[in-house]
Amino acid sequence: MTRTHRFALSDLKDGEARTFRREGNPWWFAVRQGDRVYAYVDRCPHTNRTALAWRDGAYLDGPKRYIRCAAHNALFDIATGRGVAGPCLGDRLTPLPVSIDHGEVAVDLSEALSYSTAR
Amino acid sequence: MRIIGPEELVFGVDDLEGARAFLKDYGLTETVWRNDGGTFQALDNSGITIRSRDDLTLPPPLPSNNMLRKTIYGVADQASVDEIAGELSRDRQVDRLDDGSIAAYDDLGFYLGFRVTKRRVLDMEPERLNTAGAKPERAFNVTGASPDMDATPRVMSHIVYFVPDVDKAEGFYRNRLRFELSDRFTNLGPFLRPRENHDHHTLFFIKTPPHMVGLEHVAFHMRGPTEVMLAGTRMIEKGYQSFWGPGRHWFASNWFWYFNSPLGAHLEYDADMDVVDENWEPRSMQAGAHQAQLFLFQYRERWTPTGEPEAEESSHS
Repeated sequence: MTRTHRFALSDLKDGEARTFRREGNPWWFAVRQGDRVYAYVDRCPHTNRTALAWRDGAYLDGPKRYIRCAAHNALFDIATGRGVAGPCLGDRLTPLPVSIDHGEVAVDLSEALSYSTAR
Repeated sequence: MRIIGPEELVFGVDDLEGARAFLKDYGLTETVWRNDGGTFQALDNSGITIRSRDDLTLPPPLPSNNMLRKTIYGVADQASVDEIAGELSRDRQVDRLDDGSIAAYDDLGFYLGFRVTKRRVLDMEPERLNTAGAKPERAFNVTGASPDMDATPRVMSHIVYFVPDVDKAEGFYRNRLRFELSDRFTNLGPFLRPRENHDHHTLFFIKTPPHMVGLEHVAFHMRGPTEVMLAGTRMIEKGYQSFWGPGRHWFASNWFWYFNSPLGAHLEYDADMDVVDENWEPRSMQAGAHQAQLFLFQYRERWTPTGEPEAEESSHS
């Protein structure tokens, strides 16, 4: 089963991130850096049950250099999802394939479908 | 050594305005705000101080980069401050600050302050329940629920540290600061309380690898379970992220709801914790999902059974 979510690149500002929800709970998120967009399942690999942000869309650290899990201050590389500091050192976020065509972002949610939103 | 409990935590954060907004929405009152940070208090004046992580007046950060910089304990009187200073100065440096408080590192690397308590003793309405088979606690014609009910944190309850050496941690707090053991999760750590405080615990440890040393969460007592649920629901509806809860713990019996925060640690709402005294017999067990809570719920958007079928998914920007 494949499923694709599409949104306009212009809807996500450079340096910002957005939460996408299922049944009211965080499911996956997207981060924009310049003209690139990265998407990951919204599950910290430390617990594999909990979402990363502390507020809707708050996935980056103060200087916006890393994705940060607010649960225990783990930092991840934005482009690769690899844990670079904190509890998730050596772990990796689950990436979702992203393609951008004529200003439209398409995110393949296949990998996200198996993730329950239960925490 | 009449220690009451933790009453002020100091953080060095990388998003001052985010932390400020969070703490106010969590329900603490902003009592001090300047360009370089501020202080946010519960109803009894216990609370949280935030500064920029680059602030050179802060104690240095933990090696894990956890944002907690100082844990300040309230004690009953100056004699107790002096007694703690005497005890700790036997084997470590004790800093004496201008305000009469003292500070020193514990055996785990946490910087602790001790001062004569600034807490206000509260004398407020409890949550009143009408229980079948017992005399109603609410008077006739007094309602128990309304959308505009207050839900304000009353008292700093407890803190939880990630530590690599739980035995060393327990030894320091029990042998040097005379904390009492309440219960123990054999695979995590002990629940401890200082002798001047009857709450089941003000301190708990979770064993972790060394690179995680830091504060896992700080909890504030709410009036009761209704306020825990209501305050948590309001946080969700403002876009904040639940970490765990709502639910009710087995050990300590407290209701809980934990939220992620820009402080890099969780803030918990809790209520109805057991109170214990010298007749309490500590329990010991291995903690798993069934031991960590009696039950656990998950937030969902409010709906009414007479409404439309629910959409399968929604997105928030």
